[in-house]
Amino acid sequence: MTETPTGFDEYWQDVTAEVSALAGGPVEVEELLLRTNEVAKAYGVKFSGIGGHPLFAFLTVPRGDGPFPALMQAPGYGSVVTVPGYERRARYVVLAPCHRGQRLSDSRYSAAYPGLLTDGLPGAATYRWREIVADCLRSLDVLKERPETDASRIAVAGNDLAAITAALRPEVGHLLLSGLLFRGASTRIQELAGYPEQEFYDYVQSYPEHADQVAKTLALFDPLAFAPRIEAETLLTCGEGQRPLLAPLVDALAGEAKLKVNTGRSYLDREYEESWLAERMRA
Amino acid sequence: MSTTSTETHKSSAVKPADFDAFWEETFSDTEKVPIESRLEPVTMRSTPEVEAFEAHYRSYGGLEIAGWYARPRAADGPLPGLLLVPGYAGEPKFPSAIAAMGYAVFSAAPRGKLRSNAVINPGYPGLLTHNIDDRDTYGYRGFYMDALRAFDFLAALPEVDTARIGVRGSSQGGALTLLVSSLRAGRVKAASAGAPYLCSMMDAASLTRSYPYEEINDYFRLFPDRRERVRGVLDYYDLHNFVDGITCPIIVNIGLKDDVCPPETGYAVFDAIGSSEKRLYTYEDCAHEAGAALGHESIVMDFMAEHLK
Repeated sequence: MTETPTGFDEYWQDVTAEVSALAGGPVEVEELLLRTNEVAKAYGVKFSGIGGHPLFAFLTVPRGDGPFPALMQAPGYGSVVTVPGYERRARYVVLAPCHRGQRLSDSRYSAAYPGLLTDGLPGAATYRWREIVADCLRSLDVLKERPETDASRIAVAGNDLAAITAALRPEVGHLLLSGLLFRGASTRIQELAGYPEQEFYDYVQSYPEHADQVAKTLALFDPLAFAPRIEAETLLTCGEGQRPLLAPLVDALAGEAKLKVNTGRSYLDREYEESWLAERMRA
Repeated sequence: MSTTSTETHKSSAVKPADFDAFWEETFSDTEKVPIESRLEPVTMRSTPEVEAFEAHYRSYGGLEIAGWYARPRAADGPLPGLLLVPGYAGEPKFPSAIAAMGYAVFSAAPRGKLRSNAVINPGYPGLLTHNIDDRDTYGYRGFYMDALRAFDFLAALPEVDTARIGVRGSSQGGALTLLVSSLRAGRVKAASAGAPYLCSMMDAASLTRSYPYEEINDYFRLFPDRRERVRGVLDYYDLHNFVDGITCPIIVNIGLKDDVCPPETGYAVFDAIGSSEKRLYTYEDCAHEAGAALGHESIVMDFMAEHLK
């Protein structure tokens, strides 16, 4: 049984409500001729996140008659979101949003690396990742509303942001998870070595008086707390050393789920993931 | 992707007749810019074992370039130095873990990276084709000089033993490792280049549909008449035309299923490296991470320790 962090439901209900208020807002779509190729057209998409923050996403649409299965690539941890890869572009409508602070969504605020993981701590209300999750939810809504999208076949791929999006958007049918940052972070801050997770450790070392509040805030973002709400069929991939941390998450997911330990041979590991997704999306 | 030997992977890059003159002029222009190095402590990233700093220096065109610098607090005498050069799209790694191993480490952020992008900011995608049809203003001209100056910055720090400086990086960092090792031959003691990018660039673009090389394919789709002009520009920047100058011990690793930097180009550039002490590590069924999850990191750090400590 997964223990729900204090205030979890209210916190995320508020975020969801703020994003819902953006429904029907303007979405500007412009073809990126430089990135359009023989398998897919490419577009730049501009829309607003909560607080009116301007957001950008790459959108690619396969050539041919749609609707197509749709994939949102949740933004990874880093300043750059690039154009979706060739094979995915050929198979899916792909939306690759840049959350606030990443390049192309940084007109008001530019994220620091290292630094983003602890931006706005210790309080949950001011933690930057609250807004970043909202950016992902808004992005998923934009993808869902595209006329090229087959709303019955929507997948999300990525890290914690993908997991949280799937939890808060039940229309996500498939979830490809890897590279989680928040799983167990709230209880392991003193053990976190190696960036980016070491940012949490650095912060608590600098502000030990905030350690308890930081732990409470991070618990709100732990994918384990979202697991009972994730109905999407899920593939979670990881290295062998992460298995003990991630096995409980897979067990707690509401939908069918598989934990796949990578071979370390990245071509084979990626092929497995892409085949898994393509088979389920019938792409 | 092919997995055969260097014999079957020749580069189409051709060294222009005035290659050396072009780069001598670029070096000369860079040398006219005072480096104006400075370090500012970063308390939050410092530990009882490691002191961390934000670093700045000036480079080609007078631009201010940033980086992260870290050094062990406890040191008996001069420290071995290690320059980390970054990949294409990511930000430079914060180097405290390597500093804790006993190195003075500088992790550079050449122009366009965050904190070095106030003047030039071509973005990603963008950098690879930024002014790609003009040799004199191509984005990598200053970028290469920023990497070279990063070495000079590190070497000038008083705690660094100038006889024991290494360079390492992967992908674009692999390319910059090759560049610095060649242009600072005799001063770079050891080098490790992973999945090197910017090698046989025109060949690479024809072998893959993955970014960043896909930027070149995108460019030719819009400007098909510029192909030969671009080839002529890239010949000045192709690492294949630099690496004969490398003299230090060097290791190179490639993934034999790398769709980002095709292994054919890795084989070809390895073959062209001038050093007599070089070793190639190939990883079957690996893509662009080129063995990182199979223990190659330990190989790199053991290699650096052997030559720098």
